[in-house]
Amino acid sequence: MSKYKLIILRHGEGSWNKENRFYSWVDQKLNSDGLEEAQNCGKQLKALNFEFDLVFTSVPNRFIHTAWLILEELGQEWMPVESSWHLNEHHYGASIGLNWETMALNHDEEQVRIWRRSYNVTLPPTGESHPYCHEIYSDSRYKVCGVTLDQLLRSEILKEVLERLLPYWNERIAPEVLKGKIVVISAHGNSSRALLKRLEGISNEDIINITLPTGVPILLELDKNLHALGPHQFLGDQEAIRVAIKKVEDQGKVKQVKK
Amino acid sequence: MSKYKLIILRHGEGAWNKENRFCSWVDQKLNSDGLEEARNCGRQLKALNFEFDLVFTSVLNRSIHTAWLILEELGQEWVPLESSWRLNERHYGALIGLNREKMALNHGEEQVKVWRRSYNVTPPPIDESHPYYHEIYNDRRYKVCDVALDQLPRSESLKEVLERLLPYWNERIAPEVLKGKTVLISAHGNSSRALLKHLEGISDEDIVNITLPTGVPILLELDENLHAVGPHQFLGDQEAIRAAIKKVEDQGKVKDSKK
Repeated sequence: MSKYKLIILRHGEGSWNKENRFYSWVDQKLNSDGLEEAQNCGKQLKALNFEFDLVFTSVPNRFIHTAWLILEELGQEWMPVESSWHLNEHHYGASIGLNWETMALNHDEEQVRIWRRSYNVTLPPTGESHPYCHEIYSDSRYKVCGVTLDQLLRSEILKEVLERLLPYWNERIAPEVLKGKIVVISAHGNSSRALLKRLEGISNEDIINITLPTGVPILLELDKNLHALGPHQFLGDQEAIRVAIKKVEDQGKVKQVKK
Repeated sequence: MSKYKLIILRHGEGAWNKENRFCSWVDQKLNSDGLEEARNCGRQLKALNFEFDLVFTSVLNRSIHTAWLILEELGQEWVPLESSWRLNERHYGALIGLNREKMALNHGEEQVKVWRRSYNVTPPPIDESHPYYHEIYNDRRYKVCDVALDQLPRSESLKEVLERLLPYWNERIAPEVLKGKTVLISAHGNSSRALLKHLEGISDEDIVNITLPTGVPILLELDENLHAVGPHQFLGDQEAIRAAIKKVEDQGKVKDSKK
């Protein structure tokens, strides 16, 4: 029997999503589609009469803006919002800023899918010569984390996303859920998947096939031990959600060349 | 000698400012001018290289949106933000929603000035028959406060604003300032004045004459005991600030009828 409810959502589009580039820790803004997705997400939650108690986000601005837009739709701007790097997207290392399509051309679709989705395959780390290295690591948000700047990640496998997310879930989020608070987590595709993997007990092999659409609220019902009672559910128009899932899946594919 | 810096600001215009109506605890949105004022405030603070550690707002959306827009201009959306009813605008009781111009015609400019600006005159309380009573007190934000719903104000003098604000200053904000955190308080005309009165030691008589313009960052430099080392300073173009102060002062006056 469902004792607790949790809403997880993946932020809407930024311009790099349209270009199929690995965003990761770069602080890209939501584009107009992403803004609208966030607002629609809020409208959906309002229509379902959701009242939250607490919102958690990662530190790049697109998650925070997504949360803000949702709170504005709900008329609940006063809701506490907490942001932590522990909820940041999977750190794609040296691949940050590269384009999925180019990578799919150079390494074939299946290899790209494995890199994007597999649980324990490492991408090379971000070095100082990387065009986005200084933009990321000189930002003051990473000087006030619970770890020192030099200990922060330079690349991760999906397994490592869960390893740095889990203490935050255990110490900050789970206690609130256990108090009966209704919590929203505004995060990224891979950090959301890592959390769902843990709560639903999804295997390393099956996690590769899980796709989360952007801007769609994902409901997870939990038992008294914070284990999922059933698979996560996408809230909203199911046809539109299927289209949104396909859009994300197509990002790794090579486009047909038209002559 | 100045040891700490604090930035306080009064949010920008909402629709009721233009209509000269007491907005108080009604959750009006910023209008387009108010949104622009907030962004300009953010640009001003960015030009001065402000980096905040913590933001405090009231639970009214106009103070939160002002803070959000400022943080967006600064690229500091991740900075922790906390909202409390104790920073809310002064509760104007039965006068909420009434037009200042009509009140000045009916009661005289002087009475309106006394109600608006005196230190310890409490307007008549709001009651259940007031058109905005249920909109205010049915809202969930007032059911999760640190006082019970029936203990929340039904009307306030400026003195009473300070009495409910001061515990929050002492217990939540001051300790952060003493740790050396750079704090932004996004509040309202009267809650800002109440706090300045306390920190600057302004007398009950003199506080009547203090006008705070909307959307202008107010710098207060504090000594080691959190007393002001000098009068508050408005940051930005001084001519524009003088015009903004006059605009607020004129709101209480009766317009000359033109024939």
